[in-house]
Amino acid sequence: MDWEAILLSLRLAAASVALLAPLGVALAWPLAMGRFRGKLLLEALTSMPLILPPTVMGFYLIVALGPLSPVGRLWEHLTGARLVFSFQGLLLAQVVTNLPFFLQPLVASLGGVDRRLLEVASTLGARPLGVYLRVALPLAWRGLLSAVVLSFAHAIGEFGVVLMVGGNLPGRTRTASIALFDQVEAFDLAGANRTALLLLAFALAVLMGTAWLRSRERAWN
Amino acid sequence: MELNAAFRKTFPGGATVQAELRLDLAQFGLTVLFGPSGCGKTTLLRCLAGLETPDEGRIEAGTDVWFAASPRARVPAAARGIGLVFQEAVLFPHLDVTGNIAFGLRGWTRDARRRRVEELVGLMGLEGLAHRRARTLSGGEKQRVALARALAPRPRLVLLDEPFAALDRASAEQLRHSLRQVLAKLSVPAILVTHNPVEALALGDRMLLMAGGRIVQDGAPAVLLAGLDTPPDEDLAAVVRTRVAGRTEGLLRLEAGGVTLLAPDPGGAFREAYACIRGEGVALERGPRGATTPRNHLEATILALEPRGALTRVRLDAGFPLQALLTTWACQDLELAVGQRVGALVKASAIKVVPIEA
Repeated sequence: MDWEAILLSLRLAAASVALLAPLGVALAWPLAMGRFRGKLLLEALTSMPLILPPTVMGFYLIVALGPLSPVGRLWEHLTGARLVFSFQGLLLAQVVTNLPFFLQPLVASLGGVDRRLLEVASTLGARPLGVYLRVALPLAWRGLLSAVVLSFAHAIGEFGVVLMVGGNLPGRTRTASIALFDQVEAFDLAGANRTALLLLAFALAVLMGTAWLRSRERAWN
Repeated sequence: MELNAAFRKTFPGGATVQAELRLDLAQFGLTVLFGPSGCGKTTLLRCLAGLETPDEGRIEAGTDVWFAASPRARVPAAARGIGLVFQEAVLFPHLDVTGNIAFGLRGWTRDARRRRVEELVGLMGLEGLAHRRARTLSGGEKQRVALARALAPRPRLVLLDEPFAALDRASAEQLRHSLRQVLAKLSVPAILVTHNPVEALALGDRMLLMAGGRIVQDGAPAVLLAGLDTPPDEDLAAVVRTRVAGRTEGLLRLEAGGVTLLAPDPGGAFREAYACIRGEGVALERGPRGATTPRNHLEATILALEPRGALTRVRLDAGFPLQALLTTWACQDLELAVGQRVGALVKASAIKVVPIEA
């Protein structure tokens, strides 16, 4: 078992969720409740990683983060290192790729909150941000938890984008799913089996957990 | 300070709500917004509260402009200082009773907040429930908490959208009883939406009658209810202001227009009361008086017969305006005609007595 790769996957997933959480919480509210121009576009853009082939995502991310891009140049100017094929570059790519997995359960959960509660909160003096943070978000906590768990799990399993943006550098960008790919390529089928089983068991546990959360949410409302 | 509103709101389907009203915000007064369902009562409330934006007009509270169509101005609900209570108590399920009541008290000191919550818990009779979650409360308790929550931040006006409609009869009666006292004590003016005439009489100082998206009449509840061409409620035969002439065996003797009515005594010392007569409790007879159980036998003259399909509304003068709802078949059987003298039998149990406080 390539423990280095597994640890890297866990570290990468945890860091992605830490960045995703504030971004996702900020984007979920207008997506769930807002009526504004460009909402459809925002919805489509944030859902794109669900549909696009990971290689397409990966390609555009390389272009966006590469040494010739403004982001890549700025990063290189600030740190002296390249963003692509680094842990940090991989992290940014993971955030973009996993955004829909964070947003979808949270937006759905926010959409299920009784509107009258939000109206009452506003008549009691709560401004829109207060209504969100004091009423909507606490009531959608199961959706938030699902969002954290699902995006974490998906970050662990991501393959295509990681390979495109991160390459396959042991200890830096070689994650568990890429280690599995390497094991198969090297005909280490026993090792591949162990890695695959571990990832499979993890995914199963996560999905059962989120399904349980969702069933409890219906009972609450 | 005065609330001064004149606005119009049109919905995509074409329904329009148009309202013009003035309301004294400086002192307690309970204004009943009365009318059939779908006539725009709730929309009017939502526009006042800032939850709905009118298309045209102005809403002002004293010198504050809450809404103006042009030049465009709009104060959000959060800044209007209006308390709102819905038909079903929508309590914050993640907070306990104290948390719900204190929700609008952000910015108060801890001490002031605690004292205010305690005061409202006392006023609304919620002792012992302070740390209970919403879902463990009964319907009546929930609505009390919702009312306490709306009143806690000292609103300028409270809007009550049929707050008793979802409650069982006993809880509704209890809450109705304390509502007026609490509002008067805190001297908060209120608008109460209802389509229950007894509620309007018992609670209202003033009544706005709505129909077809407009306020069509404005006056004292008893005057408006008694003077309606078509009763607001199929069930209501008459609303009469009466004098208490005596009390016997749980019954009141009420006098109005030279007529005496016997009705169940709701208890309490009062000299005057409204008698609200339910339509189903009125029967008509012609010819000699038979052996009947109804206590009240009134001589009446038929003023009009208004057939409506299988039923006919008979408008009578019985010393006060009275209506009876008969099957059209029964009208023909009795050979009723305008100008005729008939006997109107009114069951005592069909009369609801609403005391008028001295």
